[in-house]
Amino acid sequence: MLTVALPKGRLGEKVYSILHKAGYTCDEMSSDTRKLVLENKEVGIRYLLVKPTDVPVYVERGAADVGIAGKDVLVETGANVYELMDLGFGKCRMAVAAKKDYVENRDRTLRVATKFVNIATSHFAKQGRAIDIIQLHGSIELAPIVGLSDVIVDIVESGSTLRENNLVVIEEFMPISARFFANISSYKFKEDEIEKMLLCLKEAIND
Amino acid sequence: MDKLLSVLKPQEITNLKLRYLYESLGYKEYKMSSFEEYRFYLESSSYLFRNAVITFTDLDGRLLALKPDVTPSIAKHADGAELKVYYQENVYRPDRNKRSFKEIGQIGLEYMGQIEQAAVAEVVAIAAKSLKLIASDSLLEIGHCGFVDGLLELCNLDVAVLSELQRLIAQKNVSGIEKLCDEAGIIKAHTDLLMAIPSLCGDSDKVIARAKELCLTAKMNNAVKEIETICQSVKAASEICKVRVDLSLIGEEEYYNGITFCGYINGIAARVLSGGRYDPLLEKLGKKCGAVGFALYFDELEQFYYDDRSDT
Repeated sequence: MLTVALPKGRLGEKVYSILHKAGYTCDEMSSDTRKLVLENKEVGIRYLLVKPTDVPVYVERGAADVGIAGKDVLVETGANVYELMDLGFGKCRMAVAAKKDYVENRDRTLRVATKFVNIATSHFAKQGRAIDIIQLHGSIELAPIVGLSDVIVDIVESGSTLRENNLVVIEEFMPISARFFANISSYKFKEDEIEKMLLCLKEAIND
Repeated sequence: MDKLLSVLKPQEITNLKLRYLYESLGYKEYKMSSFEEYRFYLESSSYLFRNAVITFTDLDGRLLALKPDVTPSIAKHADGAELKVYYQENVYRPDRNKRSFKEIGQIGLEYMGQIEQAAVAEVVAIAAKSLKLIASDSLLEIGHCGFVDGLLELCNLDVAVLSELQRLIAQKNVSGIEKLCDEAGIIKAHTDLLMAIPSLCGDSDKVIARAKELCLTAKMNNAVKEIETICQSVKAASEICKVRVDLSLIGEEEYYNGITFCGYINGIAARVLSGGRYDPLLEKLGKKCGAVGFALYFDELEQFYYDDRSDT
């Protein structure tokens, strides 16, 4: 039995559709299901539907053997897992953005609003820039508009949300895509099962 | 006696069995103080712990630390003669979230002196016996720092790239390795080999056979040969757990060289045992001898007993 932590939402649906085609089917799976654990004993698979940012936690702590999440989430949680594959989809970038007319003032602390506290902190630490981190959980774009922060650090896909709010990207620094990763201990005891799933994903992606 | 034993928790019974095993193999218990002079951690090679020890001032004004690790304190007393000891102690380290310190119980075993391969094989076999004694479904994974080190020496990298590459290898992150090699301008032959390392794990015979074909230097060759010898002699021992080889296994503690190994129990998320050869630590302490040893971590094992998956 292999337990897979799937992120709720688009990414999880895409990965499930690949696994479904490869035979890892769960009949109860549908986008409107309220169940959190879906199991198919015949093919030996169990899916856990979890909040995307929690996927690395489930895998690192062994509640799930493998999981799928964006590189952003993986880096932010700093989970100690085997990062076995770059799935190549769900592509976006981590970026620093600010209001269109923003001019950086280097003689004072930079106020940074973000969901990704660890990523933002380490990015500015590399530049030796003193920052004041403001942690938010959504609508990050609002922060510079109302003067809560100077800049934001967030993922940018098409950039349309930024444009609609009169924000521009100042710097892109981390390419992001979906990753398939495994719990370290599970990988040793279930290597064959995990490698088999990995192969299915590889074939589906190369098609 | 049975009545007396009935009050013991499963973990305490296992500890007794482990101690009996170690005593019967000629290892003596080593008891020490919970404190160590803080200065010792500044001077010895345990730079890992410099910012992560609990310190306090003793009544005479000396700055003391609660031990973050037992091994350096035993190594301090090595005199070149054969020293075969085991210990049962608490160490104090930051917890997983790095928000506070926690006390972690350990049982460990050390073999110091003029270390030959037979001594390494003996200690690795004891680690495999210990795991088998704790859980029926357990495994020991054996690696060797020399294989990856030998390859990385060839690549001639600066320190930042080197440590990033080591991290990626330990994570089995093949696409990350490829990208970094490309950025660092590592030649294709070396890149291909670096990308192959994460999959050099599993059944010992298969992995060793594949690794032999991939060796580029004498250092890599010697590493594979040593793993082969150790695996053969460990597998010949009785009452041991499953044994695997993983060449991407690089020791966590910076003082390891040569053979390293980790123990896992099915259902426990993190390793419960880790060990290896650590001659550089003794060298830093000015000792002219080698050492090999391991420790079992009770904080991970606690979950195992709590879930009542134990065999005892």
